[in-house]
Amino acid sequence: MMRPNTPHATVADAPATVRLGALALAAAALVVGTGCDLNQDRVFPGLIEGVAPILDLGELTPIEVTGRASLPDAVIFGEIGPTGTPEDGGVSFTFRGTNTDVCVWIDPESVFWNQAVSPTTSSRYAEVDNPYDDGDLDLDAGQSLYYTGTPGERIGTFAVRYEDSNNNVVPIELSECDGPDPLFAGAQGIGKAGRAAPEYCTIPGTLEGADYTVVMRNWSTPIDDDRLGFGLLVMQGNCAALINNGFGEGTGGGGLAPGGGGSGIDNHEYECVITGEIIKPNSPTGAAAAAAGLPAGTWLGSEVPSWERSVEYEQAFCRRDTDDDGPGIVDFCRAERRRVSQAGEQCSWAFEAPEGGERCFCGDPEEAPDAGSF
Amino acid sequence: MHRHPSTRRFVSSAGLLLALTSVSGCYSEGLEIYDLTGTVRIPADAATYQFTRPVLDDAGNPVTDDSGNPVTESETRTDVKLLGPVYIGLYADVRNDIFAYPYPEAGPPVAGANVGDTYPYGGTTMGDYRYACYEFFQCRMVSGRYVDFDEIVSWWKDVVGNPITDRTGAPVLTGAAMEDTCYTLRRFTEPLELGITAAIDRNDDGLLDANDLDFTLVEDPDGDYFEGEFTIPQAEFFPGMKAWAMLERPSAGSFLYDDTCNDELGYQEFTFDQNWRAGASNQDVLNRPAGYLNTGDRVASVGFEWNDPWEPAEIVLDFEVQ
Repeated sequence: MMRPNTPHATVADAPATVRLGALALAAAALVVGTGCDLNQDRVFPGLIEGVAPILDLGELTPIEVTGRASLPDAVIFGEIGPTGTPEDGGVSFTFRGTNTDVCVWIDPESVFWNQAVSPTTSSRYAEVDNPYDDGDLDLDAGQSLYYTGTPGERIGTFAVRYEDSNNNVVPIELSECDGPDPLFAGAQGIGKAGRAAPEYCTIPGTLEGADYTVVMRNWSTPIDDDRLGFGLLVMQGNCAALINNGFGEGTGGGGLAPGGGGSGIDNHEYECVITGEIIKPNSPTGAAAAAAGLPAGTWLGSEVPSWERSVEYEQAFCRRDTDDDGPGIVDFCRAERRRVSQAGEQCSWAFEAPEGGERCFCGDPEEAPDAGSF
Repeated sequence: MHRHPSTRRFVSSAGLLLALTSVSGCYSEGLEIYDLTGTVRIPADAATYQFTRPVLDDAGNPVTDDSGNPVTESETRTDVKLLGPVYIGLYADVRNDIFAYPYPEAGPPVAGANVGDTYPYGGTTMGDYRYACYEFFQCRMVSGRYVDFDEIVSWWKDVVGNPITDRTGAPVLTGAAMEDTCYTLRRFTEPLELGITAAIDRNDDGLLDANDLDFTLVEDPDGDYFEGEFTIPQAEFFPGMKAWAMLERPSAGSFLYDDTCNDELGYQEFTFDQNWRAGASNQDVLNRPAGYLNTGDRVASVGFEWNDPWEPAEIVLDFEVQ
């Protein structure tokens, strides 16, 4: 049945050719229009003046570990910021193969845990963490020959297009950093540790004289100020052996972790192999770091300008409930809360602390979830 | 009834689309995927073993000599049961300059390895590790090697001289007992479900016998050999690729396959007081064969160059790894 004519003509009433033309025009407009604004930089954190988004530490020499006491002076600290674009940022450095295993250990700012809401779980997590001060660096390493990045310019990977003799291209990953997540390292871990958690990996049997590149990809910067502090150790030897066998000192036979290591090492102690990576902003480059040829925005060993109480905060997290050499993390957080409350100050959680201001390492009690809630 | 012109156009378009859709099945999608077939030959000496076992009297007790030492007898047997799994891989090439035996082309070595991954295009096995109802068979049972349960029991008791034992340590003396145990534990009703005995009449002769196993012995004046057919289902085909294979021989004495078999993998028996796994192939055998080859194992000295996917491959495992 024919449709009656209507006084107000619509597209539906137009001849098919016209409708097709209109549709094509609309499609063309959409195609052209979408190409006009693909720049999504605005959704990424902006560059921070004076904080490098991509840091190249140059060539480092793996230290020979003679004991836990020798570690603090060997830690390289640094600070990076966002790239301001979707491009990855991060830190890279090289070292020369020594014909032995080399262990790389990193610790990004600061400490993270999920608050326990169950009354039956460990009291270690009874208090709230401050989730705004945590960043995440993902560790990777391999022969420089295969590295696709440009030191100081662009962060790359070790993925290459291997072409076999039958002219087939096989995309392969030539990373030599297997299982950098300490929590899963024993189970052939292939994951990366989460926010603020240390990562390590052993580059096994490095070829003498060959160049290796280590990259610490900036996965996320802290929400509060977008400045991500980190600590780095580059050591001769196998990480697992260093952790478990230790150096013959300290309790339990010694080890990288302050608790002494051994097969019963508490995973929390990984956080304290390196302490001090929570760095005060706008601090001048360390003199020792500069003398060692490290770039601006780095510090060496004890010269790192850590926030007040930040090292105590990390150490408190590492302590076992049964330790009596200082407060555990629950006591630390409660003391912090009392101090802030008594002073009548409101410390900063979500934003950078003002000059001379209070920095809260533990979280806002009002953000604590109720039991059973999410 | 008259239809509106736009309706007619719609119907015409739909018809055209339907026709296009129907015909599209005639066009090649460019996927070079085939069921690749071929044969593997293994010289008989790879399945030859000299057994030494105690002589038993009629009552089943060991016979001793005048000095009280047990009397033993030796027997040399060539049997398909002495063939471990055959791993067949498809590679870019096979080379003689990587190891002292022919080996697939490998990529760059990383992480301290002295040889890189081989990045196979595909592959399969002839025989794989199976659950065989007793922990005794952990990493010892390969599919396609036994005709029936009686043969399994007899082989281990009479030929190997190491009778199968159950979870209490008692010997398993009949095939019926083993079959009953298997069906009870797994709640199976057919040999095919278990996959450790001949269950498919491969040669369509109406019998389930030695000719229905993975390999059959072929007598040849130039030297006897075992021959078997394989299929690599849905394999991606790259012209010029090489088919190469390797065989793991069982360890002397224990008859365990302790190179390619991982006893922490495979079906887990967790009934009553038992807790063990049947064992299964390690996951990277084709990618890193060197990690699983040992003295006495066999490999193909030449990779079969595959240029026509419809042409069956011929692979000969004629090189003994030293």
